[in-house]
Amino acid sequence: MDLNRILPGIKWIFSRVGIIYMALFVALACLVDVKAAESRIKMRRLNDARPPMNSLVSLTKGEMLPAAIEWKPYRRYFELVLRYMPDEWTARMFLGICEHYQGEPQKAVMDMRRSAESFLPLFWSSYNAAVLTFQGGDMPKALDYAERALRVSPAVVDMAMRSSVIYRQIMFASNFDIDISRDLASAREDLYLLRTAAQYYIKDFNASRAAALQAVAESGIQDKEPFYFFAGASDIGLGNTTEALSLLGVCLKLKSRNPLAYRYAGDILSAVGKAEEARSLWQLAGGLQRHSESSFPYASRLRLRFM
Amino acid sequence: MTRFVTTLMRREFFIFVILPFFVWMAAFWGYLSGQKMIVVDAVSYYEHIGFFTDNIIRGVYPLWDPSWSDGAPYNFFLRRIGEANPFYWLNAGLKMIGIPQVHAYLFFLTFYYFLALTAFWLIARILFRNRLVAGGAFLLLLFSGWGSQLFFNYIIIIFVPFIWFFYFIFAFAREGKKYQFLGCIFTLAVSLSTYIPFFFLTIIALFTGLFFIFFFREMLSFLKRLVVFTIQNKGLAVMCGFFLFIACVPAVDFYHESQQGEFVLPGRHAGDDKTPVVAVAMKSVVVGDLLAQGYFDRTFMDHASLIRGEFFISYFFFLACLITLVTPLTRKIFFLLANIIILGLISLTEASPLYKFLYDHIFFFRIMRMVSYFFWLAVLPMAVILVMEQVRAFIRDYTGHRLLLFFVVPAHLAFGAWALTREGVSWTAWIAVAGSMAFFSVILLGCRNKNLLFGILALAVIVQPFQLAKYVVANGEVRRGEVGRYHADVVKDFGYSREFIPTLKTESKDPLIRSFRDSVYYATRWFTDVFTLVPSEDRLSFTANKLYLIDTAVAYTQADSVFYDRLASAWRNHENIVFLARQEVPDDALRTSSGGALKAEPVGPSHPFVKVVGFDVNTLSLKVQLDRPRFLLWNDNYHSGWHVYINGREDKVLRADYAFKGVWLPAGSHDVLFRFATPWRYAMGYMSMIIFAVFLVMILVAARREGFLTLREDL
Repeated sequence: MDLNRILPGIKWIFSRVGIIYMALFVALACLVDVKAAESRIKMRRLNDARPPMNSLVSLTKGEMLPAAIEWKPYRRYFELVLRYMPDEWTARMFLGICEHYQGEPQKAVMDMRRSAESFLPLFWSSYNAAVLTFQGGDMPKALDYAERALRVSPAVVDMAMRSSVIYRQIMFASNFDIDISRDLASAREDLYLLRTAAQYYIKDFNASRAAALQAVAESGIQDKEPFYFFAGASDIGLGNTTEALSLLGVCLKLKSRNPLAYRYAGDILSAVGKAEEARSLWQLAGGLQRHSESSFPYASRLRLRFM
Repeated sequence: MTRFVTTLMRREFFIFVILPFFVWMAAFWGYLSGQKMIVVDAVSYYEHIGFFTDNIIRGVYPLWDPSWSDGAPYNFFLRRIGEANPFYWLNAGLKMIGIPQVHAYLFFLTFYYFLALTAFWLIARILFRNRLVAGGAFLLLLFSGWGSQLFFNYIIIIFVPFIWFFYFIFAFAREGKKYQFLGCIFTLAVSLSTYIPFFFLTIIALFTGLFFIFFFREMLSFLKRLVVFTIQNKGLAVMCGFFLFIACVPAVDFYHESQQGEFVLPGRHAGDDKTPVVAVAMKSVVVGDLLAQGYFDRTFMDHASLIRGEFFISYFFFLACLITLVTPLTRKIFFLLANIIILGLISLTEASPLYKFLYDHIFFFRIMRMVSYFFWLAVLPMAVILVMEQVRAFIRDYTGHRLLLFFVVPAHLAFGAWALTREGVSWTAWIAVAGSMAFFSVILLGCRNKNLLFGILALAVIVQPFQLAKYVVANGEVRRGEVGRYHADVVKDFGYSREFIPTLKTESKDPLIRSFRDSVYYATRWFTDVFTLVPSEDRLSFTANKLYLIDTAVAYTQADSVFYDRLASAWRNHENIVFLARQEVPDDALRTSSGGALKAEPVGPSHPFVKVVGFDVNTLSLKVQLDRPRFLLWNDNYHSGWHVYINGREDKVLRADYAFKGVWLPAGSHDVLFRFATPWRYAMGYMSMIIFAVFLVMILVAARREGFLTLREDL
């Protein structure tokens, strides 16, 4: 090797600006606390991207419809949170909600399921996963998520929400005056309904009937009408028409808006020869059916929630 | 001189400075015309300068602001702006000829920016001695994110004296003229007259220290020249020393004032138990560091979302930095890099060990908050100089080296390809990349036509940032009505009632949120207490009227919760009672006049026995006729700097109702005069203003006599 030819080249390289830039880059990498810097940058970006949470509070309070909310900034924010903190399961749940309302149901289900399966104390992830899978027709999975959500005690849910940064941001919104425990109780009631309905739709009539009657006996449940319906409908499935008629009768007395309750009661009455009464019930059922947009009579009860 | 200026105007200065500046103005016209709103700290400085100049126009030297937190000493804000700076007279002059404050201020800002960039161009000319490179450096800085700082913060106020100081010092090192020496002293004095000259001092100290290390011989020769100049111009040197002393007095006075604890800055001082009150807690500093600001978030992406305050520059800058890595390493480059790196490390605060050390060991680092400003004040200008120095070396060493095209072209293509992968890069970025490639390629092909080179360079440097500036303007808030909370009426009329400003009420029960929303930035110590501890609605219902006549004065010994509750109740019910601190008042101040009513008697414009006969922000003059001794309560904050004169005889101003002020008036007719501060303080203020103006005139006269700049360039 001819050093006389190499040395000038090396000398040339070491006398260039590029060398000092490289050296400085290495020195800086050693001097600067890169992790601290990185986390500061992340924090700032997250703060910058965070939209006001008032709309989400209004949505929960029923003052705003999902369609009236600009979901894009929320989605961008939750995506950013997840980019920096992939294990932030609350953010994933909220991302699922954004995706759902932005018309991307597949992504919404996927994110909601990931959130629900990864972080049990987050009741709302399981709740929403149950709702989405139920709406998607996957009843066994919906049942599974509903059971998962119902297993979490309200105290744990409350603690998980209050310790979540994202929930705290929502709670800091100026219009926040929501009673979390009341909302949680109503969500659990909806889950009982979902569980009963899912069991009914997979034709596990015994389980559905038992669940419905358990709910009817539960003092904390305010609206018992759907449970009387599913108890009655399950009895039809089991062939107990007399008991079914009596349960559907209670359901109708509670001023049910469920056309199926009228139709099933009409069917039973028709089978026992009370054609006139049956016809009038069918007519009522037809009238209600015209105003119903969903095949599931209690669809309005099952919507995505986070509070 | 005349010939020089004529030539300059005709050619170089016009082409390299004025013409591009007009293009810059066109890019930011949305802001400069007042259609878009200046925001954040820029608003505060707009208010301070507006308040100061409005008062000066009326012949009042403002030392008290009755509109700030129910009255506060104005010295803090004067120290922010450095009121002796004669360039504020431009703002005042424009208003005197009827131009509204918004437009007068924006014109002042534009002019000041022009002034700063002119100094930068002059520095570049001295350093490079090459018009092409100096012009390129000027264009790079002019068309960078610096311009949008004008509408976002106040650093232009610091930057102008700072950059002119460097121009004068470089020019003096080269030519040793009197006006250059005077210029150094003047710009130093302008900086010292503010309460935060520490950005300036840190940069100078670092620059000087490193200059000693890298250019020891040159430094010695400079010092020698300085000593010789001082010996030859003893009178001038003594005068300059005196001038610097005068310039320091207001800042020293302010620090003395801050030690007394009569005003507080809870917003920035929070969490710091160290004195003085102007000290900044570490957690506040961190908020203002380079990482927290996010200047660079959109440098290489999402250009359409750029907002004021964010950094942008033509991609030529980065490409030039990359291409010129092959240029030889010189002391000058090393020196500039060392400055940039050290200031950059300081700007990182917690993330760098250097800042932690400085914060713990150098007192003024506890006073500076927005350390990210080092980036705009020094790092960016030095980085531009550095890159253009490398470009100069590249032109010098590689003109005609066609072989390097094999590096330059692929490097540009690689950069362009990388930029393509970034989301939202403006289409003009490709013009910058293409312009840069053309510029370096033409050099490597041996072109020595400087006009062609400058044309290509201008294209590469201006077009992209012009579009980015347009985005910044488009994303700015539209101005609707007045800027900020300041109205010129505040300085004119006493206003018997205080304008009701709804408090930021919050439904949130969270104490953290409440404390954040209700925080006081700057106020007297006592006002801050009542603001925090007495319900706002009680305070506001009483202080909505500024003057009251009261019959009963009672003492309190301790300001505890019982006292605050009692005070709130008295305010709520407008009771005919005033509370005085037992330890501060003589016994005879605690008394009751006969015939007192249940309610305090408000004094309005139609009051039969109390008339306001004179008012400015520092004084209140009243004619009073009373049938019995009564306490005159003025719901404007107490400060020990207030004096009261009854029929020309000074009496003691009492701290009344904990935060406000008042005085017992005997029965009969009286002339009552409240005045803030001593005549000496006013004289000092006026004297400073005059001395600064005279000094500026001296510089201009000396520059005219000696020749402004006689350097000859190689181009």
